[in-house]
Amino acid sequence: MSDLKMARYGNAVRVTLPISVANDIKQVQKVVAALATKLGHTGCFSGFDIFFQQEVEYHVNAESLAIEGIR
Amino acid sequence: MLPEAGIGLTYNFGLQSFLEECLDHIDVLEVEPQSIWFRKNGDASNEVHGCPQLVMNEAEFERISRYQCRKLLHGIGYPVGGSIPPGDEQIPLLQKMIKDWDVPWMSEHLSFNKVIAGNRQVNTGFLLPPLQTPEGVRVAAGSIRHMSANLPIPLLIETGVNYLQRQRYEMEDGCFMASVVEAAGCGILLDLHNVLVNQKNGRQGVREFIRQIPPESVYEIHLAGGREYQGYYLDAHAGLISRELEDIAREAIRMLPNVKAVFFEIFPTYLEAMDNRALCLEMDRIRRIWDQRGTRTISKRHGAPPAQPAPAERLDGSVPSAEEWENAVAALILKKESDSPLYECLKADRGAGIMQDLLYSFRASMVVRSIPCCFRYLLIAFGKDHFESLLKDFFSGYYPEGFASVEALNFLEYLAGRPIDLKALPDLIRYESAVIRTAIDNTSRVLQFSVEPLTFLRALAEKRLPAAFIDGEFELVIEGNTEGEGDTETSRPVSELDQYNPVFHN
Repeated sequence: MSDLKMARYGNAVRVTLPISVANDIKQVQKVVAALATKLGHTGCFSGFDIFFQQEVEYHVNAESLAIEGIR
Repeated sequence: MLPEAGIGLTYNFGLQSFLEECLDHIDVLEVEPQSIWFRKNGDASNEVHGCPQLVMNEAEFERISRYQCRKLLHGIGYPVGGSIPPGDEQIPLLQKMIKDWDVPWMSEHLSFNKVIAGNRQVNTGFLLPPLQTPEGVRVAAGSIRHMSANLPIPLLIETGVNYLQRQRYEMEDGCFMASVVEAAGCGILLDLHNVLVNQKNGRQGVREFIRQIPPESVYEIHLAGGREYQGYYLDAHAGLISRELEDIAREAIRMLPNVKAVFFEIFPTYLEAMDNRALCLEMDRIRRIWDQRGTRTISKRHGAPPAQPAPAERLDGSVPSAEEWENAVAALILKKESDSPLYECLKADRGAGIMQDLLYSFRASMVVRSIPCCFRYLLIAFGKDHFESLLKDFFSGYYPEGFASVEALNFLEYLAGRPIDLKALPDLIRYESAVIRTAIDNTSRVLQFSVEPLTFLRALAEKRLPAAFIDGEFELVIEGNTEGEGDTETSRPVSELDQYNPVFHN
């Protein structure tokens, strides 16, 4: 995160995010895993990819977390 | 004569820690070349003469190059079992990897993953079983010869998984493999877990299969763990090999005189639950199997004779052509309508539904891995059922893509075209599209945001919504590794970000 920069640019605030930080949401949590390694062809197996299921388990009740103005 | 390579792992991004700390537990690394390629610009529009432009993920290539062990290649995107030969666009990158890593042989699947829909080739998103008839042998042998002609090294073909039951006009699995090998003049990658999966799901037994293939043509073995799913046993690469498979492997490898490598395959999601020590122990276990190789070989194929003439040639005229078979199987797994009688026949096979479920899990996981922010935002905002309804609608309108980047960009395009009332979602869609494109081409991109982006992204990273959105006019620069915009007027460290004052930009 130390490479991340902010600056005023015209009327906008510009935030510069190096690809090494931007390319995986986990990077923001200091967990190193590059999205680039996951953008290639899917691997060789004929089973059930449980990643989606695992991620959905983190599902949070929308009503409990919804904030005003989001929708 | 192929060199002896030893035991190893099939590479994936989850293995980096093991390879850095425990490389001495393996002799060889098997790389799935297409997994470290990008489809240029990440989409189908960047094509030359109808072929996608492929580029190397140089960072991954360099990382793998640094591992001091022999490397082999195991193709995943261009199987050789169908009537559409594998595309030649892969050849330059394959040749580079073969040359740079001094690869002695490579392998591909005796499966198909492309059919013609309308006037273009489409991907099935899943390695599908070829038609096991004499015509199936001919088309597969043609595809193998086509690919082999462009390679400077021998090509092995892998025994595949088939969740469908064998049709009455089809050859037995082992006979089909033996016939293809004989017709194409290639070697065999014997994936013992695949054959065990087939046995457990009602197809030919492992021992019968091995009796029907030429033992001297087996140069490589794959082992893996599986899991149960709705009464089927899946080739899930889900963890350690079972005791049953270990026994089969030990028995088989004794009878195979030319095995040069044995690989363990495990899917990255399951690696998260396995530490390096457990993986070391598994490799030691596989080495004990390896040490048994060729100790009980006999000179000729034992048991059953070589491939018999397929019953197809002795039956009536209802035997489908390879193209009819591929179209029917593809339509079935892709849930497309078809008026083919074969489609109706195969539809009754429960294995078809299993393959549909597996394809759904592949595509959904591929999307979620590639665009975690949009996924999480939609999931939190609308819930699982709504997100899945979006996915299903997308899947019904877009064919699968082999490359995760293309699948993800297609989903973002789909989302952008939907009337979804969700604050700053368009910003997030553009953000994730830019991240994917920059990851591929290293070009810096400037994005407009209508809310303060880092608070938003950080909250999603923590699996929550931001406490509040900070409205305003923002730009987010995604920097590639090449020279970026470089025109920011001032900069300050991220540590000051938390002190950020919303009034600053109003």
